[in-house]
Amino acid sequence: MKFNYLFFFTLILSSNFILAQSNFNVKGFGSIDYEAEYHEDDEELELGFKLGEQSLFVSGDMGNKFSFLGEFAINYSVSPHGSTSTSSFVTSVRRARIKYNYAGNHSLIIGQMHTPTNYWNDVYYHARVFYPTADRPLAFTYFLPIHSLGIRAQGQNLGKLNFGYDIQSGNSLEGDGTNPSFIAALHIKPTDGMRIGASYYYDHITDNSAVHHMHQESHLNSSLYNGSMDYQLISFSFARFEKQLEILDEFTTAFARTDSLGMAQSYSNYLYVGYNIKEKYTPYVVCDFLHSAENDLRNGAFNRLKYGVGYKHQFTPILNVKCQLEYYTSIQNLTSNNMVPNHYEFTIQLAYAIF
Amino acid sequence: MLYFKSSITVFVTVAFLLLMNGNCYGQNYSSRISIYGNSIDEKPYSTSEIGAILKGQKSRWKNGNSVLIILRFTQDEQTQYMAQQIYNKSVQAVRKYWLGLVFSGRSSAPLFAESNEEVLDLLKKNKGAIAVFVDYKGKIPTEFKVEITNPD
Repeated sequence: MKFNYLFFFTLILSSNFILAQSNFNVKGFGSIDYEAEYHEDDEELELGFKLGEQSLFVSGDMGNKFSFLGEFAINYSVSPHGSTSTSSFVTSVRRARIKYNYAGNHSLIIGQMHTPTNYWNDVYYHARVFYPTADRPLAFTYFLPIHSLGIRAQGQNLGKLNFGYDIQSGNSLEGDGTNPSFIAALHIKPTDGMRIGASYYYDHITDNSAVHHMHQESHLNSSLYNGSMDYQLISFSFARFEKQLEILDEFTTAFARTDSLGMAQSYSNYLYVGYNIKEKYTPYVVCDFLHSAENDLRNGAFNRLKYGVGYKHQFTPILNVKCQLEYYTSIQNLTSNNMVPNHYEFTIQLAYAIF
Repeated sequence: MLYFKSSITVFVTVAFLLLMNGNCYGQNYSSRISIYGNSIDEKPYSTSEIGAILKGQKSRWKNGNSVLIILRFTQDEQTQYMAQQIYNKSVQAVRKYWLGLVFSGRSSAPLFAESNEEVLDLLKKNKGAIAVFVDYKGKIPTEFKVEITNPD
């Protein structure tokens, strides 16, 4: 742990020296949250401050068409009740990639990166200051592989519709390249602020019990099944961020096929609609649901629905606060083994960037 | 399955309606704005082409040089004017736009200068640079001139 802090401090202290010599950028992102949860069943109220993810972002031109981009994060992690250790800081490398811009707007990228499964994961990454809502869509907690290590062919802003593609092969969810995963993502940007995209992800998992977690808050239950599985995702994204109206819709359907229980189809949809008043003030509504099938041996059977209202106040482009009230429940008429208790969640999130 | 089908229908319908309502933006820049380039592709550009380049939509010129955008960027009226003319946004929104683009790894960071003189200095030093001047009355070498035609 001492080494990690030393690394961060060295990077920050050396940044001015490096900046003076080349096109090298160092930026920081983070958030501080205050959360209150009210459970209807037991009339219990839980509240407290929470230190959000703090990340350091570096990018730089390496010359001769090569560039580097890295993101390093520190998370405050609280261990489950009953554990001997109650809290700790966890450091991780979120992104470390080298890009080779071989022609025009076409590039080859190698390293650890975010999977281009949807708009959110391709644009916002871990920077809460960009998030339209205080938390990520539910699909991030269950379905989506957030990061991957591999090689990607990327094209962007091609033609009048600003067509873009990302074709990537990398390590599987088991963490090795024996059965590499594959993802193809396409999008267009027909007007300023609008992006429409779709993606397909395929991974053959030989041992489901050995899969890596998808991110820190993953609810993945690998103990469900230890056999092989074909895991596929199809996602659609629609984003329109204009001076006043903001809309983001993220739809994902997941297919988990096993020899024992056959094909299981699960799906989720996140919808955000916000309205900017004089740029700084943005009231918004959010609705997010997720349902995974009873025979889904990868994600387990879940039935989640949350909806709410919020308000974002932007002090500056790099400092905002979001106040959000959400109601968590389950979709009516759909059963599952893991029904979530109904509860309210109120969040105040102060998100910032430093550069 | 019912939810799946209904979600797809809603998604496609909403996307179509919003696409139909899409507004394309294109206009001439006023005489207050002047744009110059150092070792960029020699051709006449339309204002929409220049606008796309200044929004970070082009990574490399055909001559192989990387695209480097230089903006005169402070908190004054001239910067506000440039932000509105080029990006159709406020100064704050332009700053956030670039921050997001660089953070997503899809574009290199532009260089922000505090005066037209500094813009010119950076332009001279960087091949592949394209620079925006606002209300500049000084002399700029003719080889940096960029020909801009009407919108296409």
